[in-house]
Amino acid sequence: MEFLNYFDNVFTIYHIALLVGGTFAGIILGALPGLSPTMSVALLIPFTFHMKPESGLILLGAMYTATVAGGAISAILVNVPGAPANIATALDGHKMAQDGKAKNALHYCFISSFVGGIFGVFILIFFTPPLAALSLKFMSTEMFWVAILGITIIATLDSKSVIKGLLSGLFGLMLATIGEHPTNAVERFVFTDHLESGVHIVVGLIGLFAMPQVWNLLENFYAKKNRVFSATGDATLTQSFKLVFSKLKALSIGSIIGSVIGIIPGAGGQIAGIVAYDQSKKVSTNRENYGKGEPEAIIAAESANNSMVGPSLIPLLTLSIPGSPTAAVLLGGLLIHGIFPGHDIFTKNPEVIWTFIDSLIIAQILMLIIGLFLSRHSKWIMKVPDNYMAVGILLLAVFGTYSIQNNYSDVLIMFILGTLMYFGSKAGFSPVPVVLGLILGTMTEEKFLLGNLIGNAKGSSFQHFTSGTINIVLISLCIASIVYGVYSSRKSKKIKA
Amino acid sequence: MNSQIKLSTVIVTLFGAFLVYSSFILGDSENYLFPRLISATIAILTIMLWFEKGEADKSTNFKDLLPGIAIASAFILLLKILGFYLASMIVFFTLVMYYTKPMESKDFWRVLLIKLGVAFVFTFALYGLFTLLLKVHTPEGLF
Amino acid sequence: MKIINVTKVALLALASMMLLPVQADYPEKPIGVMVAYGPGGATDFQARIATLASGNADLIGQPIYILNKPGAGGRTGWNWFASEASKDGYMLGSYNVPHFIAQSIVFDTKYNINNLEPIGNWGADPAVLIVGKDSPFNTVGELLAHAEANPGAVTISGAGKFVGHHIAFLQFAKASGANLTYIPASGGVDALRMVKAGETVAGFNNLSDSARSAADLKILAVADLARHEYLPDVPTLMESGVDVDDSSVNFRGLMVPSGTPQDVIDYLASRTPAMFNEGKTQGKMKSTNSPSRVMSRDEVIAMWNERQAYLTELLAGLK
Repeated sequence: MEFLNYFDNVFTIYHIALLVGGTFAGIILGALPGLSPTMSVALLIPFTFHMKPESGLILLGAMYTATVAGGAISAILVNVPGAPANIATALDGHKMAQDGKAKNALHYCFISSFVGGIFGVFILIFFTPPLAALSLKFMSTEMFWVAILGITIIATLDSKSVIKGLLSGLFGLMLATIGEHPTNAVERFVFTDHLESGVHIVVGLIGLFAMPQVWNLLENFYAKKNRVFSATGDATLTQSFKLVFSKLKALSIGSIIGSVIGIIPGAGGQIAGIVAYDQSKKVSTNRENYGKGEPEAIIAAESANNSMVGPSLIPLLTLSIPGSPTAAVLLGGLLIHGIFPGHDIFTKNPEVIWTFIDSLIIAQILMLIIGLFLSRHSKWIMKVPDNYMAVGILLLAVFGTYSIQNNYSDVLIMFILGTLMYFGSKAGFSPVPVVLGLILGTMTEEKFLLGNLIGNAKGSSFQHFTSGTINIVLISLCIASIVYGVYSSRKSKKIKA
Repeated sequence: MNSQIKLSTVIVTLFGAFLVYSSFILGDSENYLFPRLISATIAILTIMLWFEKGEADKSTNFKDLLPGIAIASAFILLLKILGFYLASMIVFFTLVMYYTKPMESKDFWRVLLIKLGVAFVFTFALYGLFTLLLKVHTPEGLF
Repeated sequence: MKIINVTKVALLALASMMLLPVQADYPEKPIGVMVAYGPGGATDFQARIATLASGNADLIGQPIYILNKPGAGGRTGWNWFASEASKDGYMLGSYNVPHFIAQSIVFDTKYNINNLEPIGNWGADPAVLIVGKDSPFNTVGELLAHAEANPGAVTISGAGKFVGHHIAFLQFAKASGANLTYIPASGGVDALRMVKAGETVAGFNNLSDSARSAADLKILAVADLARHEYLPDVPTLMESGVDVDDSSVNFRGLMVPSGTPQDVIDYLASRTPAMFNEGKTQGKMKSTNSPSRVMSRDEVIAMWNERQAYLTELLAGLK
């Protein structure tokens, strides 16, 4: 219970001000398309330069917590996820907003983010040593199977046409191979210099979601009537809390899956939301409503996103191995203050680390309060006329894309890819599997090649990939996911017929 | 197969053929192992797509969409010359002026002034947030 | 001769004053430093620390800001820097030797050491040979003996191809004659993870990062000419009987593109060493475990040329 001793350090006027400011700014930045949590934390590191270590970390932690939740706001209101983690939220969240239930969707999002977030921080507080050891067991082969497990989801994500869903996912995987070969550093598909650094995940995300939204608003500008606001959108807070806590299954699936994925080193954190969405869909009694504005879907996805935050710090703090792209940037933030991650971090810098962890709990509470407050004003966003909305999204998309790597080529890639996606969506292709393919593509190929090199050096690559408890568990999960996917698509076909 | 061949299926097929060509003909077997696996699967699925009874492609209202695409494309190209903020202000104003609903435009000059004002305020808000507060770099140009 | 030189300099100065009147006031606005890696990485935060004091009037006289242009192992940033960055001294770039030289040899890049001008060097991070803490190997000799008995079975991780770790690996394999397998991870952090987790038998990694993680690792040797102050007990590879020099040491410093006015280059070159050596900056370098090595422009030019010649030879068969 050592963590209880350091709340005093959090409750200073200066630190509370940092927390409130960081959380508020984090939600707003997270909600702007293009400013992902990774980007926001990276932007903030120079600001923490002149602060004391614990103050800097408190600000960064609040930012990390709040941006992950803030990304859901734009996912729900304008169907443009703020970060890869919020893709799953857009699926049902935006449907709810179209039905005039934006406020409800935002309530569910912030309440479940809070529950997941607190769960994740407590995992960080109580289970760090055993989970750090578990985290080290995820090597190239295990990460390869995690990526494959993600790919098995692709086909069943968009249920309209399995073939088109698969084609979209494969297109995403193909996009990921543009640029440098993961192990040989050879350039592939670099037809012009603009493609030299490949398609960055967030650049792809912005293009695939934001640009179609811009074109959609403009194409239907004259045809469309004003958006609908039905009275059902005005659920009270009590009703929302009751609803979220009645979906215990979705909440626990989200929190647990998010935590597990958080401790896996590397890019894993980004798929927490979508994996939780898929799993809760598989066990839900309302699975037919997923994709049509089902609250359970938002609850599972958002609790997973935020529960990922705490555990992603476990390998970071004890092993200097980040559990998510944002945690990787946070590593730089730690080092710049002379705080070196390691097993002894809790004994060497207890003051700084426990204050930081305690502040994460407070940041979750503030995120809930500020988020719910902002939800009340979501209707203002929904009232923005379509022409202003379209140009606003366009400018933010261009700005967000450029700021990721300060690269003009990324803007061109974003613009062209997004325009192609818009016409693709007219033919029934969906951006969600494309982004998932883009996220998983590099991970799959890189981990396969590295595992193969190491396996060959050990004697047998095949044996290297198929031995070890975690590998076997993951392979079984992959098979189960495919079998279930085939079974459920047969079943739903029968219902339709 | 549908009685009517869908345009999207033809485009996807051509695109799939391009991917197969660039990973099997242009690429070597070692570095292009993954692209080859993916493009081969794409090829198989494309063939299956010809036999799928799916919904027809949605039609596109090009009359209203193309001007938007043209203005936005001009913005993307102007970014590098004019810089982010000046280009933003111009595209903001041009887009909201072009896309005006008939009922808005009773008093043309009033609408014009309001839109110019909003474009100004929005761009300056972006400038304040991004350049002054967050110290982010935007495409540089004249401004 | 001296008189001619003085006249030459005076004439040049006069000419440049007439041609470029603006340059007399250099610098009159904040100066950018392009970093070819993402924010949070070692090059990024060291660049921020090293340029911390630039605003002092007796140093550069203007604050320095960082512009990250990551991608393609650093080539995106360096290509941009050589071909598109302004040549007026308001955009500097950071270099990583041997990475950027090795990549300009192997790939068709828009930059090479001939269209870039160094300003000064702030740090040098040698590669170290590491094994996991539970590894049976305690010396370089034991590791090599194992490699001899099991050709190809000794896997050594590093932060990708054509970076310092890869150069160290190539030199190590060549000098020892052992049959070793290089595992190019996607970055230094992942390469370090592989060694900590026991996924690879050994690894080459940054001395600074490895020294921080000493509890999870055994550091067998340093790929430098002398032992390092952070690790006084760790021998060099040469002391361990493998003839590997300091060619893989990761030097970090500042440069400008060719075509920048000579007086701007001279101004920057005369003031950057003092900026890197400033007391607070050095203190911060130390507290973040960033090995400092300040070198003047002339020293860097010599080092660049030497590396260019050596790496061309070493990488000849690898293109």
